[in-house]
Amino acid sequence: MDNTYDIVIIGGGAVGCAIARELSKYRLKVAVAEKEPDVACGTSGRNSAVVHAGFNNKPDSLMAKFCVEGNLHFEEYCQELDVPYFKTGKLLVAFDKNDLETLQGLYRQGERNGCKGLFMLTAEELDRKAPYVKGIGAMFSSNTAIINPFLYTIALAENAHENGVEFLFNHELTGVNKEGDSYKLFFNNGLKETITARYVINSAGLYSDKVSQLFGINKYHIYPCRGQYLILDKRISDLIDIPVYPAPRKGIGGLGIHVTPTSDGTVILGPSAEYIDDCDDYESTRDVIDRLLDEASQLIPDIKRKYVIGQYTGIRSKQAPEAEGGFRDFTICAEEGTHLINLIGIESPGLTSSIPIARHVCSLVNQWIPLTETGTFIGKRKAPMRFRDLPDSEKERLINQCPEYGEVVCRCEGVTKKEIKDAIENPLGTVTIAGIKNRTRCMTGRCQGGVCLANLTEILINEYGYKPEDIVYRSEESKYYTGRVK
Amino acid sequence: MKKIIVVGGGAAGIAAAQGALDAGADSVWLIDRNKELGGILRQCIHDGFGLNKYKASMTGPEYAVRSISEIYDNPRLHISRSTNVIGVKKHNDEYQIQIQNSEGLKWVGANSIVFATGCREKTRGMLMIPGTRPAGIFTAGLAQRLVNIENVMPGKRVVILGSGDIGLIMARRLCLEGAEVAAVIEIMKDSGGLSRNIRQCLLDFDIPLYTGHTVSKIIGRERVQAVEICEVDDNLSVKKETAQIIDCDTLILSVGLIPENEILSAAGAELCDGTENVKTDSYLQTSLDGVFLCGNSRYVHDLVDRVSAEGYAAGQNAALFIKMQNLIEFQDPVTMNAIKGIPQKTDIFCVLCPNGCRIKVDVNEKGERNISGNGCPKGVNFVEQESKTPSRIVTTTVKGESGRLIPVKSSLPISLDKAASYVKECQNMILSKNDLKEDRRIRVAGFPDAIGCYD
Ligand SMILES: Cc1cc2nc3c(=O)[nH]c(=O)nc-3n(C[C@H](O)[C@H](O)[C@H](O)COP(=O)(O)OP(=O)(O)OC[C@H]3O[C@@H](n4cnc5c(N)ncnc54)[C@H](O)[C@@H]3O)c2cc1C
Ligand SMILES: Cc1cc2nc3c(=O)[nH]c(=O)nc-3n(C[C@H](O)[C@H](O)[C@H](O)COP(=O)(O)OP(=O)(O)OC[C@H]3O[C@@H](n4cnc5c(N)ncnc54)[C@H](O)[C@@H]3O)c2cc1C
Ligand code: SF4
Repeated sequence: MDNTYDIVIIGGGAVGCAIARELSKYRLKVAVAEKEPDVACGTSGRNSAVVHAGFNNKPDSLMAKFCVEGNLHFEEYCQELDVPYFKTGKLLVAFDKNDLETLQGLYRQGERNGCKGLFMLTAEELDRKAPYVKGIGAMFSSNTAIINPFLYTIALAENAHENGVEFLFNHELTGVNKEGDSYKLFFNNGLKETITARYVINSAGLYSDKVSQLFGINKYHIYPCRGQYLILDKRISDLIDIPVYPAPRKGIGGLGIHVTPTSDGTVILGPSAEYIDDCDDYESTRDVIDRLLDEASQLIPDIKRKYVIGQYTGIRSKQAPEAEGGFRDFTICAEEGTHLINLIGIESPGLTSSIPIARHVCSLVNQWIPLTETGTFIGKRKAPMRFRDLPDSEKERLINQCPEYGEVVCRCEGVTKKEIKDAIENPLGTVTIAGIKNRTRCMTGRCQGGVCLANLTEILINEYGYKPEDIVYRSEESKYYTGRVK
Repeated sequence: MKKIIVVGGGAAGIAAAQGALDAGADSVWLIDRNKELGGILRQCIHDGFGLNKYKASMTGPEYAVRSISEIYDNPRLHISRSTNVIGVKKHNDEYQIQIQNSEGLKWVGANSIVFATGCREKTRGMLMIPGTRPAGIFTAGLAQRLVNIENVMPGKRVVILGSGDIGLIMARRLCLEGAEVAAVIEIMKDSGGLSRNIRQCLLDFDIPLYTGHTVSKIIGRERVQAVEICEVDDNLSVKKETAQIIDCDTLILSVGLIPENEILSAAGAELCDGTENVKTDSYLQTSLDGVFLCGNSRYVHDLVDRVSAEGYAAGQNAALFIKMQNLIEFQDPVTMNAIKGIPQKTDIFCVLCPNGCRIKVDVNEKGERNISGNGCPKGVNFVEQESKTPSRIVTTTVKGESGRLIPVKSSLPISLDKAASYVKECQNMILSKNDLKEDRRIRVAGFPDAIGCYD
């Protein structure tokens, strides 16, 4: 194999994958090196999954620019990538006078940033829109949407792959040697192989400061700031059909604890904002869990502890230390005297901004290598069937065509065996339980895998020849089983 | 011809089909989503089922096979496996049930329906246990299926949260298959498990039980590395200062079951106030006319015999309903209530049958022994044996030539210190036709025969 690439992207998050897909339009040999065995294992799979409108961000910042641009086109992106998109809108609720002023400020800021679809609501209008929230007024953003961040990132990656980008999983960049005009890249994967890259794009999220250091650029520092979430059962989603945020309060590193329906029909509440020491300290803690429930039930009294079915955490890659608080703008630049483009501090609204960021990165690349289109790029992707969402007639037709659509593997989410097999046979060639879960929703329902994990295991062993000890949850170290019983 | 559909082919559904057939139903259709009937019984390979119904102590699979065989050949019965019921609606004066299987998706009609859909397990998320989310966390029923059916070992050093019977049974099972069970943790002051099970699943294996404790944190980024446990106060809140760490690679949660009745509640069946349980009247009928409910989907039962009795009654009433005859009130059968909780040091619990009698041995001044509390004469022998060489019926699985695991139990009690080597012997054999003796017996070198359960 020829290990020389024009461009190597470090990091297979939403941003790295969006960059890969944009670059796949041009005559370049591109690879994505990702330390985990799949894409979307970092922050891109651990967030609120909201397509923000862009009123939260400072005027004239990159955040405001890319967020608004992303928001206005996100539905097209999702159509092209064949992934779910729900234009739910969003409510920011005021509970006192100060809140109302904050919201008016945001409204004006939003208008300045070019956001569309912002409305101020009176208490009565709020009550009509969301009777379950008791506020004295609200701002409604009709252009805010929700997506599935896993499917979105996977779609970007698969489409990039279809257009020629290579994905190198279990490739953690640990060393760089400058050799003439290129870089020799070293990875921590037990293999002695190296890769040569003419240009490198650092999209390593929480580790972007450390990756930058490998290239001798030490001026960045990421302050990880954890956000814990709780996942609520579908039963509550009949009630809550729109993301509900409190009016933001000063000094916190996020947008406040909000309640958001997900594209899968559950509801999430969170995130907290806790500055922590480690970039991979994904623990959830008792105090925060209690606080989340407390604050969420102040926002929406119908939220009860008994609806909780799961938890997760995400970590913001903040450039602003705790003492400073708030947000600093994205840093996206070609570092002088190097062949490195750094993306640092891509925190919220990074998901919304991912494609505009990627296009901006292309323009930076273009200053180094004049980009010429391949002419063969196909941006339209066909996602595997999501059986559950189809009308009955279509379901019947599919079962007739392929009986494995008739076999239910995950009963909570109605995931069929064919969908599981599609996920196992995904184009990126990665097989982990988390990957199957993220692609199909298997194990994400009420029983959280209580039944379907065994079904999945049976399929992997009996139909794909896996040994139990080779089945992993996420990384190689997260083995699910120790072996056969006998 | 009027039709009855029974949804779920576990103990309750099988009994419901039988009840309906016995009451003269013309057509009974038993539907289950699994490849085989029997429900949860299939994976409960331990002994302790059927004392009331069959007057014998059986393993779960034996109980299942026996109850299925009683109806299997009935020409009025139709069985569909690997078929999922996904919805119910009323259509004119009959019900329509939507089923999905590899042949298609269709609506089928029924005049009466019995729901016997069992229950599901509470999960880590519902408990909101803090900490990381690594591989190595399983609910007990899932672990049981993995070990007993899928032939997959979940881990090597295990902590079990919850000392109900399922947790206890899994502690022993994993121990016998070579894992180390580091501890069983119980948040309440006493265990809710049967004393008999605490005896034969924990004490027999010297597994420590921490009552009044809970798992306060899960540790380990990729795979479980340890759990933190803490004492709890009277409000069941964690006392942080009591934290201790137990190294383990697996955490098994045996923290409760929830009736599975999504379809029924979606169809509009009324719930009991403040719960997720579906309301039933004294005829086991839900608020939907002609729709009956039984077994673990009605409420979670301890004893399969009761499940079967209830299922039978529900099936019977379904048949009476379509004949427009009077329904029969269901009376929970009186069964001996086995004793629960941690045994006292001086207690001897007979484990020979599911009754689990507490036997008292008093010695008077003359040195004569007086034995009391035993429900039958066998208890006396048990006491004798227990003071010499404690022995147990051992249940495990052996691998068939096809790779499938076959549940087996020892034909005679085996002394406790040899139980592990018996299981090991069974681990190493692959059952071929030659090993089959008459009457389902399997030779186990150096040990009493194993009795296999195949259908
Ligand atoms: C709590 C929270 C809520 C959020 N909510 C929203 C929201 O609602 N809407 C929104 O638009 N945005 C939101 N965001 C922001 C958004 O999730 C991120 O901006 C976006 O996911 C960043 O993507 P990324 O590709 O830069 O980073 P990541 O997804 O973290 O990708 C970086 C990748 O680099 C890999 N990597 C790291 N080091 C190396 C190495 N040395 N070698 C190889 N690979 C490496 C990592 O494994 C990782 O996969 C939220 C963020 C958080 C934390
Ligand atoms: C680990 C464990 C140990 C036990 N130990 C003992 C013991 O020692 N002694 C004793 O007497 N009792 C014991 N019990 C209790 C007893 O065995 C159970 O209560 C009883 O078997 C439950 O039967 P069921 O039919 O209600 O439920 P299940 O056995 O769960 O059957 C429900 C069936 O319905 C099917 N189903 C559900 N939904 C659908 C749908 N939508 N479409 C199609 N099919 C569906 C399921 O696949 C399943 O087969 C134990 C239980 C457990 C879990
Ligand atoms: S004494 Fe008799 S009835 Fe009681 S547990 Fe022993 S065998 Fe069963």
